[in-house]
Amino acid sequence: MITASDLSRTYPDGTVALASTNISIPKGQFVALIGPSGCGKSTLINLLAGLDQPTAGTVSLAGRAAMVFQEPALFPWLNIRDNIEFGWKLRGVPVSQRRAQSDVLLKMVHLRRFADAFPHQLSGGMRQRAAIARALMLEPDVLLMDEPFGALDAQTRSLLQQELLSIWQATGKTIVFVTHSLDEALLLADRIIFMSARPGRVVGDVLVDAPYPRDVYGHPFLTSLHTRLQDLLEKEVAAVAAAEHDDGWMPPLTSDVTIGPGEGI
Amino acid sequence: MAVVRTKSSNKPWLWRLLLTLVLGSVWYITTRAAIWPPYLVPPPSDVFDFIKSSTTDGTLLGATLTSIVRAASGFAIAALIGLPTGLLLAKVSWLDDLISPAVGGLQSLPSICWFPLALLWFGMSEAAVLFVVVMGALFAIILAVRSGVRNLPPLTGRAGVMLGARGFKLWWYVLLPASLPAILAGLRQAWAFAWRSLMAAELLSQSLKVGIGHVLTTGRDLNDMAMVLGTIVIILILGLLVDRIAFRPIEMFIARRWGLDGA
Repeated sequence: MITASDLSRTYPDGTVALASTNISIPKGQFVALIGPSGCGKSTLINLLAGLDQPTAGTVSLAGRAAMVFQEPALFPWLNIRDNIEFGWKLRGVPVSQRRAQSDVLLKMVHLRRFADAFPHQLSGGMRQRAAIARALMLEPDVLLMDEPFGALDAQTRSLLQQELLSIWQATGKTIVFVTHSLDEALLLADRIIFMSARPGRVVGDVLVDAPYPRDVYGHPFLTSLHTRLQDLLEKEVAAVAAAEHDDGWMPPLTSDVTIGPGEGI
Repeated sequence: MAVVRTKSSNKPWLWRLLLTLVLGSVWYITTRAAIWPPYLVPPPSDVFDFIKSSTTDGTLLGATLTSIVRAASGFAIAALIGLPTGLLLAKVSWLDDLISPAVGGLQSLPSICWFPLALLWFGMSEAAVLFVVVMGALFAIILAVRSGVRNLPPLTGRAGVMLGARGFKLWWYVLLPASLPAILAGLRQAWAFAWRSLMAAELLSQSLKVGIGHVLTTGRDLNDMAMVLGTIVIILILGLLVDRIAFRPIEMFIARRWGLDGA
């Protein structure tokens, strides 16, 4: 169970990254945080992880949290097994116990054969799987993921999405997943929290009640949700772009064409 | 970091050997033609004879050992002071603002400039020479450690914190190993500085235990050009040898392990 009450974060330069936000996430839920860039979704997840301190408000998170970043951020001087066991080594857990647990996780992320390899010998997708195993090794109640598949190619991303779903279904962890891809959110999450930029705040919160595995374009509910959220997202992106450009420039157009919301970019 | 390789011969050592032979022949021919008197340009054979005789009769061995011990002690002291200082500057930003510009400035000061000061403080002694060697290596080490830690990707530290590393553990298990390649490169450069500083200090000092730099001065005093040239060659080889034996293997290992290119 995660509860954020009146949570806000203002940076020293005055930017309001997150304005008074209230969120409550029950145990076992897979929540996607989505919104245009600069909407404070990364700020929110860092606050939940305790890697950043709020300007006001509180976070209460029952149990432990572990995080997967956009980059794998593995330690290059440790092999994959030692990377995964790192958290337990810090805690002074005996080697035999560490081994047993990392064996389970290496198997879960399909990296058993690469236990002794070093991060630079692995592909981007394999490294990110190792990062997921490293986070799971901490036995977290909540898995926080900050655009974990954003830097991967489409095929690898799709594969890792499937794997993440099976890990979620096998472990029942609470997952908070930041993404800028609506398709990814609809494919994975059973709840989508929609955020808007400047200042970052929650503007939408929908439960995605559809069975897994999902086909976003073959399921009437998902398709209609996609259309609605896509509209919202485009409007937000247009608003951000307008604020950012702030120069009144428009693409030269013939007189009878008008630009609707969300099309101006 | 991709390594861009320019098109080169697949046997570079062959060409290097050839170049050496060509330059050696030119040297030999000029001495045979007696263009300059032999006390200014001695034939290669004289230089070779000096190296051979002095290495076999053991006079050079003692001088070499003395110099290596001096350079190594100065280097060790510099590392002992420089490593923690560099870490401190990387961590404490107000301290860094306060003294890093001065460290950067001192780094550009030739270390032999400290010799007069050292002579007044310590007299003509081992301590004075050691002081110059330490000053030669110290600032390079401080700056390498500082920038090594500061240039780490912020995510490295955040990943460490996320995994439960705080305070000392974060430094010892995460930040220090992560910046090891940069620190090692700094140490390697600092060794070259230490060796240079020692040679300068030995040239300017007398009445100390004979080091290889003193042999060079003796060569000048005796007007023995073969001795001067031979000693220069030996100093060159010694500096290179320490680099190849002590630093290069560690650097290669780290580059391989850390997955850095250009190893």
